[in-house]
Amino acid sequence: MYVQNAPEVHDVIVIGSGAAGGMAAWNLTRQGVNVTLLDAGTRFRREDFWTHVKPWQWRERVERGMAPPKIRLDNDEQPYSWKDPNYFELIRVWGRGGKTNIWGRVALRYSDVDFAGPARDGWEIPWPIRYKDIAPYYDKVEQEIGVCGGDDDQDSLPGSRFHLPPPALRCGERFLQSAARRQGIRVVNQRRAVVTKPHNGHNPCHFCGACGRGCDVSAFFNSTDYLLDPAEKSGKLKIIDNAVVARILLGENGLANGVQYFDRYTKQERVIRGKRIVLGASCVDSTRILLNSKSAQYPTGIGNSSGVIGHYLCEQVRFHMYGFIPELMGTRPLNDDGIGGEHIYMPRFNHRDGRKRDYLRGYGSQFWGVGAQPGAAYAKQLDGFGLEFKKAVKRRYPALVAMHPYGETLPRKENRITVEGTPLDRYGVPTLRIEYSIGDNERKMIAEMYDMAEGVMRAAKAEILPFERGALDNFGSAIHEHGTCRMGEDPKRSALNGFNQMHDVKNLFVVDGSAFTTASEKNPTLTILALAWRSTDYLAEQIRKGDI
Amino acid sequence: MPTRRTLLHVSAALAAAPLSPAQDHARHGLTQIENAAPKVARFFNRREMALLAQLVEQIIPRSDTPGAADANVHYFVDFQAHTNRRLGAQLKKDLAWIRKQGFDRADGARQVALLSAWSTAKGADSYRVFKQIKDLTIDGYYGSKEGLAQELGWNANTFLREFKGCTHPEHGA
Repeated sequence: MYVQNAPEVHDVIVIGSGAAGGMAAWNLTRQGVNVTLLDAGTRFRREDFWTHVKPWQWRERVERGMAPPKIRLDNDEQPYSWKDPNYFELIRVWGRGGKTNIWGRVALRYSDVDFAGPARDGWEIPWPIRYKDIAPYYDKVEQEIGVCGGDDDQDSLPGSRFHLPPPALRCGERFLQSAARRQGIRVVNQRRAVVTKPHNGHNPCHFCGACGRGCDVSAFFNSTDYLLDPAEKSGKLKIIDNAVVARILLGENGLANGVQYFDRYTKQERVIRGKRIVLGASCVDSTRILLNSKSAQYPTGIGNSSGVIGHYLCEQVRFHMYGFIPELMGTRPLNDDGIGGEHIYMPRFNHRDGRKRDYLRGYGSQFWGVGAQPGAAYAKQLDGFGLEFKKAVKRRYPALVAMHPYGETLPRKENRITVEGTPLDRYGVPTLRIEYSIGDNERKMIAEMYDMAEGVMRAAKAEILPFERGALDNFGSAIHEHGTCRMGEDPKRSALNGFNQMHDVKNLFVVDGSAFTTASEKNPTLTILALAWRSTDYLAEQIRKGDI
Repeated sequence: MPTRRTLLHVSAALAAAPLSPAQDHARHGLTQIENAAPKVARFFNRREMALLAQLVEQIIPRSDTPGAADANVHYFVDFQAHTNRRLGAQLKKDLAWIRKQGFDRADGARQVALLSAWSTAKGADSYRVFKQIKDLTIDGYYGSKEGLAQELGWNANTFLREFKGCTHPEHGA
């Protein structure tokens, strides 16, 4: 006799293992909820990282056919397209921890300058939350993962009592900080999720500066070591590897009841059933999944009665400006590695300097690449060759400074992710297409960002390398996609409520950057972590009450 | 509060302690590189490699530190051509053009004169040829041990207990 067993129905299915999915799994399991997590890849082996491979050793290894671990997803494996001429650089990581393996670690709190911005200027919908709603979660996240930073506190960048000690500033950073001060602009300690002293059992940073290759001692927050491993130890978390999610399935009762996924390598189709689903596969991939989850009830994607899913894609506009501080030219180079990346940050200030502007929102600045670097790409912008050229390169080497402003882009309906009529991927699922452009608001802001950067450089008396005013880094290269499944109070104009819960499908939560109502000028990961913690606190409470 | 004796004990224990996994990993990498085989050209022929060596050495010559040819930058360029055939095909054409100008047979002064002319002819094809080889030389040399460590003084990607940063009171004052 053939007996068909009823499929297992999981308490909560979490999709994605990065900051969003990792936080959801960790927070739910520690509250006693059983979680099954679908990860599109597998664990990256920390011992394989090329963290301590010198540049010339790297070259030798590559010439001998070796390669560092492939952390970034190869776009040939999962293609995407964009609307010409606006190339959108999409960087994804499929595998345990997602982009937190190699992220920039900048950990900035949003403020009410950000959360209340749309309500103040009237551009698109307001956020359904304010700083007071999320502040306790910023506190908790910072205490849990370890964020180093200073004791500054301002309206655009709220302070924290929980920062670990900030790293000392490099010589060039002190010159830039001082120059900005003379321009009336405050530059503070950068805040990064780097453990600058032992914290919660995590190794401290040893200041090798190679964070972008993955940290071999896990001294910065990554979802694998900081969230998923502890969650697995609780016995409440089950992870399914190489599960490339295609669709979220809808039951007859209007609730999500499962997930269709494909094994990444065998391409075998599988379905897993669950009572609640938390989607945290990154803004772009989560949007692809939602839009592909079509049904009679939701012909344009699950939970999309508002029609906003896929629209209002926001990323930030950025550029680099480089120069050399005269006082540092010809000095003895120091080991400038530090915690990798700059140790200073310029919070947004344009809302309070008394100037009237003809654009909305604002910008801040980072300062990538100050001091002695593992290379001298700037030499390509110096004229000449021969011994004098060689001397000129050497003389400037310790003196390099950089400005790297980030500006907010407004959410616009026409900036969107679609799956309609796109080529199918290797599993037969429509791939994503990105349409993205900036408007007059951004162009006006960019002009001022250039003025600001040049002003600070000139105040530092820097020899500025040639730059093309108005030039930008590739769209997408900040890797800060937001807004395509936004939260809001009005179900007709938003897909999620203030707890990242779908208006339409109450047992489906979306906890990554797609949930953001606006992008701000800040790096989003700390806010993703805080929102995911808050959202899954709410979900756990609903489960306890039996409401979901 | 730790006493001097306990600190000494800690120091001795650290000195005798086995390498951390990361340090051991790094040392393993060093050993592999020290055992690397001699350089072999993979894309260019012997004449082209000789010409490339002359070019890169004129762009970044030997001084009190090694020059680009000492640092095997011509092999770096060869590997770039090997892995990027489009670049390789272009460079082959460019090297042939450079030979036509008599660069390989010229004395040092004449080679410098030719490079000077090409390096200032912005917009001309000779400038493009010069700039491409110059940029490759920069990548190759300042990523080599000779260029980065010996010439520029880079000594980083290490294990530090403390990052001191700027210790100059006069900076940024």
